[in-house]
Amino acid sequence: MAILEIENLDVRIPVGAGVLHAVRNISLQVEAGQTLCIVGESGCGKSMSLLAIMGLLPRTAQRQASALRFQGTELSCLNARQMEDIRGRGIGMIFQDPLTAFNPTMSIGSQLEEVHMRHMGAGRTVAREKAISLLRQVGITSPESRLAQYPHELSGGLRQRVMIAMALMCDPVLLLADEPTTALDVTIQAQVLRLLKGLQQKLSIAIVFVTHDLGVVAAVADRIAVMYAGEVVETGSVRDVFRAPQHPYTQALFGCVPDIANVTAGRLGTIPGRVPSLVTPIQGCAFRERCAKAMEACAMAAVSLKPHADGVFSRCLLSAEGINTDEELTHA
Amino acid sequence: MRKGQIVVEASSLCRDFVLRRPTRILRAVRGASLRLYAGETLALVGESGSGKSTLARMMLGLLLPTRGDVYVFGEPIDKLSRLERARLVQPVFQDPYASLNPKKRIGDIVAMPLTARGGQTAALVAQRVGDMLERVGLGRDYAARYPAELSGGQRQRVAIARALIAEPKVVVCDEPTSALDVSVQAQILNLLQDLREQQSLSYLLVTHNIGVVAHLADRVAVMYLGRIVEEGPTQAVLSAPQHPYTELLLSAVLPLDPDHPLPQIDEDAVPASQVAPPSGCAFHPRCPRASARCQSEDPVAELRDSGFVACHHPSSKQPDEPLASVIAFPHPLHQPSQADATAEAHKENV
Repeated sequence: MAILEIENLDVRIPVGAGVLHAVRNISLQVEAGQTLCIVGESGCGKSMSLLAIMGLLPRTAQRQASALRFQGTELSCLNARQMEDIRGRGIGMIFQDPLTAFNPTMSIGSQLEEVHMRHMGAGRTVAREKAISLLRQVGITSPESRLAQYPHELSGGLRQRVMIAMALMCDPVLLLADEPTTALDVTIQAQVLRLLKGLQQKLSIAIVFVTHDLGVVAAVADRIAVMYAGEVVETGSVRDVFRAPQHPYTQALFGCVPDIANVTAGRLGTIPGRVPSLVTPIQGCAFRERCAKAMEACAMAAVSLKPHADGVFSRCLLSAEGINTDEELTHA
Repeated sequence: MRKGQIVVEASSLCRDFVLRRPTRILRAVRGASLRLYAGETLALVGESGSGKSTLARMMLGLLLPTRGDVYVFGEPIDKLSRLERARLVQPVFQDPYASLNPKKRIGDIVAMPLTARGGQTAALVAQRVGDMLERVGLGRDYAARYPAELSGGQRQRVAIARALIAEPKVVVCDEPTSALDVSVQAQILNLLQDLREQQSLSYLLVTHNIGVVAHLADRVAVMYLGRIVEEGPTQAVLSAPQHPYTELLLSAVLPLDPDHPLPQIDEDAVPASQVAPPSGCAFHPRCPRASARCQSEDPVAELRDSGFVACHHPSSKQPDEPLASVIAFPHPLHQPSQADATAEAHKENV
């Protein structure tokens, strides 16, 4: 059974000039024990999608969805109190910057214990034991002494581990992680990712992982959803999408990443132009003005997600009609 | 300027910072020597806290070393006036949101190195600003805009235009793309590459992104706890790292391959301290090859084919076939002293 099902999610945020259509009609699903990576560049709506699931959007934002189900429960029907229960217990969240996500005036221990006491109704002793065991699980040595420390006393890598422990305090079945390793050094990043994967296998948690780093996606994802201008433009298993990206945006994104294996590489691929404004309505394909393969038909009508081989879906007229003759695609 | 000439040299640089409550000394850079040659791109890599930005700031003359010297074209950097220094060396900083004055128009920001020097008519300055903006791919009309109207990538282009307008010889780029999206990063890296070819620049590139290093750098210097532990041609260092820290750093890089296993890094989460660096080789507490000697004896830089490594137990792996660029830059430890280099530079000027 899918832990999380999102159908036709829309997020609109009123801004000075009009309404910013931050998330446009996205549908996603995550199964237990699976990791879905949402990839895209700044402003593509990936973080907004996470906040929409959590019910943590800015106050003025409007969320609309034909379904937003967590373990079969429709989230949009819940009141604030019920949502709060789910947020702490069923769904854990890991933020990008652990320094701003913690309360600087409370010790690590009190913050971890508070979560458990508040949501599980446990006493302090039980909560403390839980905190110690989780800190140990996330690879922190001598957790007992860490509990008394304050967030500023820990290094970035340690803080991120504590954040993961905090997200796990109430045994969630779903973790939402927003760029959890972007602020970390590569060695710490590798450790934190390994830790997350290990915990996921042990506890069979579903993870939605938002990142802009394709290397991280390759390392942790089972499935991938590529977002552009508020829409999902391509989705499929990580292997299939990495082997043969279908959407021109996904292809261009891969071309932009400098290759470590190839020191003498010439120029990097680039994507000309800029992301369209999400305040003015978008006609046709959102990517067409930057797309090397754009045709007249791309401007005519909005393109829907079209099925491709191996369960890959791509929001492109070309891939649907099978006239995509790129070399790398033909042998896919 | 000719190939092989030293443009900036750091000689046994140290920089301490005093921390308060309790008073203690943070040793950010602990004896680092580095030479930047004409026309080359030298990447300085390392984790946060390795001292790479502090070293770069000293080489820009923005920070005074506690000990050691910086030479720019053979002249001690503190003997140069601010204007002279700015004519030779210019910075591009990491955060284009913080490095541009929000109250100034783009045109005035880019013109600053020229107006500071003076002696040019306003019309000529405006002309050169327009040309420069076009070269970085922005267009002349951007001169009238304000930083707030620009995206991150466009702002970084402005920062590059400002650095290059007075035709410096050296540009120090401190994480020039880490605040940018990958597609924008690609544009900026291409731009840096083009400008390097057009203007025969030397870049000192501070970064933690090995992909950027592989793409742009001729040579790499790896920093750990305030020291340079390995230096060599990019191809050699990336394909056959000698120092265990370089090996660790490279093993943590995630390739774009879903079948590649997640790197396993077995380490205690305790980071090395700049306040109390470990005895002997500073890397020994994290090093899989550490021996008793490493705990007591600080390794000295040892010559390798075309670079050096400071390690008692360097790897013996052979690099993939060397590139032509390896030969273009003489070995740092084989170089004549700074005094000789200065004399040569003078000869050339005559």
